[in-house]
Amino acid sequence: MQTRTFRAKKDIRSALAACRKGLESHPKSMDLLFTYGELRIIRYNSSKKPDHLKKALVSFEKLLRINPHHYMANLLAAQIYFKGRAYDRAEAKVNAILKNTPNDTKATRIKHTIKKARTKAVIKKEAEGEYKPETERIETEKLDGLQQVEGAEYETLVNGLNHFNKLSGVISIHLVDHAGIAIKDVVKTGNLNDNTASLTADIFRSSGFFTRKIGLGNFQRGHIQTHGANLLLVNIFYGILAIVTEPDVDMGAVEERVDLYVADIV
Amino acid sequence: MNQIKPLLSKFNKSEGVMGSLICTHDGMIIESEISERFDREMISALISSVGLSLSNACSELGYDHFSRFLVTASKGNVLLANLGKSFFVGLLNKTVDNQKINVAVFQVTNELKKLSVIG
Repeated sequence: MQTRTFRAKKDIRSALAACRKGLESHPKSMDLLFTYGELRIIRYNSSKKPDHLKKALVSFEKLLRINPHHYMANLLAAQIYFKGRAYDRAEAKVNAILKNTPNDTKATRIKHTIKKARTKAVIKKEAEGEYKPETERIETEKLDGLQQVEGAEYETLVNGLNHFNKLSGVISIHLVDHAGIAIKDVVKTGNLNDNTASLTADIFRSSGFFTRKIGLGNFQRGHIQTHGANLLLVNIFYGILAIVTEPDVDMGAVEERVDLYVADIV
Repeated sequence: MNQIKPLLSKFNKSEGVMGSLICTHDGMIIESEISERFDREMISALISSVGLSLSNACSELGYDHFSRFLVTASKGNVLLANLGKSFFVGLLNKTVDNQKINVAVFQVTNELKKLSVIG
């Protein structure tokens, strides 16, 4: 909680300290492990000190030992490995994503980039007559000056939720990653159910598998109607956006806001 | 069962409908009017899994049963309606008019619910 507060205030150092403290008492908290890695990336992006990336990577790897399917941890770890030119490891992380979501555009793009970079490296080394098979060492010393990690995309995802601020009839809004980990919950009325994220991801996965398997392509949106509420699930590529509304709400208006949100983040 | 087929056929005549079927909650087909392009056995098996996820989520979140689930995918849409003892599944193409199809679904599911076998 403290971490989030500091982070909201853009006080990354204090957020990191709060996160580290939290990890001392809850070393297997996936939420904290992920946040810690993400904060380290933010620190790297501003300081360009490779040590931050090393620490981020360690945190993501710990998280992935607990949940190997964590979408964002795999994605960010892949990017860090890629920057460190550990292409095999980067590819393994991307493959872990593609195993669950075969058409994930982001992972597919990184996979192509890895392939290109690997080919270039081989050509260059062959030309220099010193080609050796790639080692698994992470060359973090080469990280300086490379472009910023796209990591803190969560910021964009969360900030974009402002689109729904003035929408009436909304009960709650949830940002969830593909593995069912909550990124952000905004509860306007009632209490938050701790299982919302995993239940949302369950529906997303089973529906997505269904549409792909029968040849209707990728899941884009799902509208669930119940007697007590409407639930709209939106595939936002980096995760899932779930909006719970009153049953009689104007879904056209909700969809309009969703369109704006998606346009913003893409 | 003879009463179900004509209802599905009538629904399939609506613009943008590619096929429809009725299956039990555990994925057994009761009746289907679906082109050979689709594997109906697979559809009913997978829809059972989707229905289970939906039912779990709705009861866990305190919203009782789901009545309808409309999935928009990149190459078509799927409509799943909970009939009580069974599911109605409509496969729709991307050009479907949502308002018109809602009326057609409302009509067909109301008729189907009257049949004790599935409703």
